Formats: sequence, structure tokens, C-alpha cells
Amino acid sequence: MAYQFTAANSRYLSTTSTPTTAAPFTISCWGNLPSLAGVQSLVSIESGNSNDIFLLYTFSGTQLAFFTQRQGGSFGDTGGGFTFSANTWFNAIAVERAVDSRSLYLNGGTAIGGSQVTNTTNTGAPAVSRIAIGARYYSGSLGGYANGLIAEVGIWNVELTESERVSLARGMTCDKVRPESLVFYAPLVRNLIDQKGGLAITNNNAATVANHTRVYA
Amino acid sequence: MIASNILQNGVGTFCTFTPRENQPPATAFATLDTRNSIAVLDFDDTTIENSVFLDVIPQFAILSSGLKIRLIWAATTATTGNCVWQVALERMTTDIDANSFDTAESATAATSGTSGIPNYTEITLTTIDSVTAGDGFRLKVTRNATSASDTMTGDAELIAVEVRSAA
Repeated sequence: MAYQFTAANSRYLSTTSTPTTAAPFTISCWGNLPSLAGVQSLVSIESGNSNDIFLLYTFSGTQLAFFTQRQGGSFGDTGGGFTFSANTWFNAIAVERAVDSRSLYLNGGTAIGGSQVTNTTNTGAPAVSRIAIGARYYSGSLGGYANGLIAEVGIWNVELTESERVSLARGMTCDKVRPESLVFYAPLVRNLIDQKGGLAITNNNAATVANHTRVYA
Repeated sequence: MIASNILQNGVGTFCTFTPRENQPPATAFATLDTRNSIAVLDFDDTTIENSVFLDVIPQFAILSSGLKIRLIWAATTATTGNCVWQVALERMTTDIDANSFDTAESATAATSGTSGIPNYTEITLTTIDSVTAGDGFRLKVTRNATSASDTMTGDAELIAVEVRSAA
């Protein structure tokens, strides 16, 4: 069972700490959004009280992007460049490889017919302290709530290779991909458990369960 | 993890499968869930969904009467109604880039009147795609939710599958 988020109810999941605070790292998740309108946050590694953030999100109806900003500094945003469809599970992988380089991969990237984009803005290193799923703290408030399903959230403290990204996009669960570097893994199969780092995950405003994405468990 | 086979004189349990061994099809797949921390596969009650498992027929297996496929399952919430299960087998000796499952067999099974009590449903499968000992095979388990005989409301949760000799 994936988790279903409803923006109108401000539903999201969060932790009070994060196992990774700086590059290099990789975020992977699966999303399925019936409506692609507005800014919808998938996974955020953030401070929770400033604009220090690494954010995997959607915007402008059909665009997927990865955004990095240090409070008071420049932001780096992969921008759109590629689109995805409503009511269809997609895999999104964000890589922060350095303060001046980040990439976003949709459905495995170009290696298997997906899409990918890279941004090289030097943002400096954001000061982050927690993980949010389905929302983000930015510009003084919590918002960017997701409307839809999110599942299989994994964070590694390395940049995964192309083959590893392809494995994830083809449905392998996060724990099967370079497990020694996996630092956070929330399958979101009904139970809220970080199977790797043991972080407590809080369900804010009663996000509900829904049909899971296709995985090789 | 694939359990060890238990055979005596070529009959008995050939293999067992649990939800985490599912190799889901690209579409219309049963979805992973948990119930009391037990991994299950959810099959919808309005849309036909499938799960697929892969193993090898053990040495000395007697297949002359086909196979018996035993499904252990529970209703998510229902305590009445029937669930229509189908099983089909594919012998892995042809091009694996295309599916080639043999004719499916079905069983209509009533769910337990007590929520949470697992049901045991056995289906005899004689159309086993001419599989022999040592062959790789795939077993597809389907809930035919669009059948008029499938009257159970809500998801069916598949807990385990046993493949045994029908002899």
C-alpha cells in the first residue's frame, strides 16, 4: 500500500532528523498524481524553518524538478524539460552530487527511454535537518502539498550509477540497490517504517493508504 | 526466498511462494500490502489483477496427473461472498520475451465468515504446458474479479501459494 496525500487536508509525512545532510546523495521515490496542477512536493530534505532545502517536486502542471537552495543564497533548479502523465506511476530519482551539480532522472533516465536533466548552479550547502514526504517548508510556511500517491522512498549517501537507477525504475525495491549506502528507506507499504535508518516517521493530518506501485519485493 | 521442496517418491510439495517473491506483470498487477505485519498481495474486487511466481520443477517430480495449486488467502474485510481464483502455468522453454501461459483453471471459493481467518483453496491444474522435471516455470495467480461468480466485496489478500503433485 502506498500513501495517499490530500493537499486540502495538509497531509504529509515527516521525520525529525535526516541521515544525510550534504552531497553526494540520491533520492528515489515513486509517485502517482491524479492531478498535476500546482506545486506538489514528493520528497524534501529540509530545515523545516528556513529556505535550506533539497526538494523533489512537480510544478506547472506537468513538470518534474529537483531544487536546491541555501538560505540567502542562490538556488539550483533542474527545471522542467520533461513531462509525465497523470494517474500513472512514475519513478523519480534526484542526485545531489556536489554543491554545483545535481541531476534529475524520470523513469530511469535516457538509458531506458526516460528523461534526465542536470543543473550546475553553485548553491552552497543547505543546512538541513529533517525529511518531509508530500510537503515542504519554504518561504516561511509549510506547503506544496501533494495530491496523490507516493511510495518507495529511499535515500542513499552516494550518487547511484546508471545501472542502479535503472534497477530502481524497473521496480526493484530500494533495499536491493547498493544497500550498504542506503541510509533511509520507507517503503510506505501500510506501516510507516524507515527500514534502514530506523527514523520515526510521523503521519501529519492522517494521510491514508492506497494501492502500492509495482515492485519486486 | 524459495522454500525447500519436500518430495517422497516424486509426489508432495514441489515449492511454495509468498508475496515477496511475486514478479509482477507490467500491468494489472496485484499490489503489495501488509496485514498484521504479514506481507500479502491485494487483488482488487472490480479489476482483474495478477501475480506471477517463478521456480524450477524439482528432480524426480511426478507430473502425470498435473499439479495442485493451493492458495492461502483472506478477505480484507468481507465475511461473505465468493472469490474466483485462476491459475495458469508457463514452461520456460520458449522465448521469454513473450508470455506463453497454458490454459488457466479456476476455482470459486467462499470466504470465511470470520474476518481474518485464512481460506485454503485448491485448484487442480492439468494444463501444465508439458512441463517436466528440471524445467523452469512461471505460475500466474489471478483473481477474476469481473466474473459474475466473484461476489466478494473488497480486496482478496493472497498470503501464500503451494505447488504440489496431483498424483
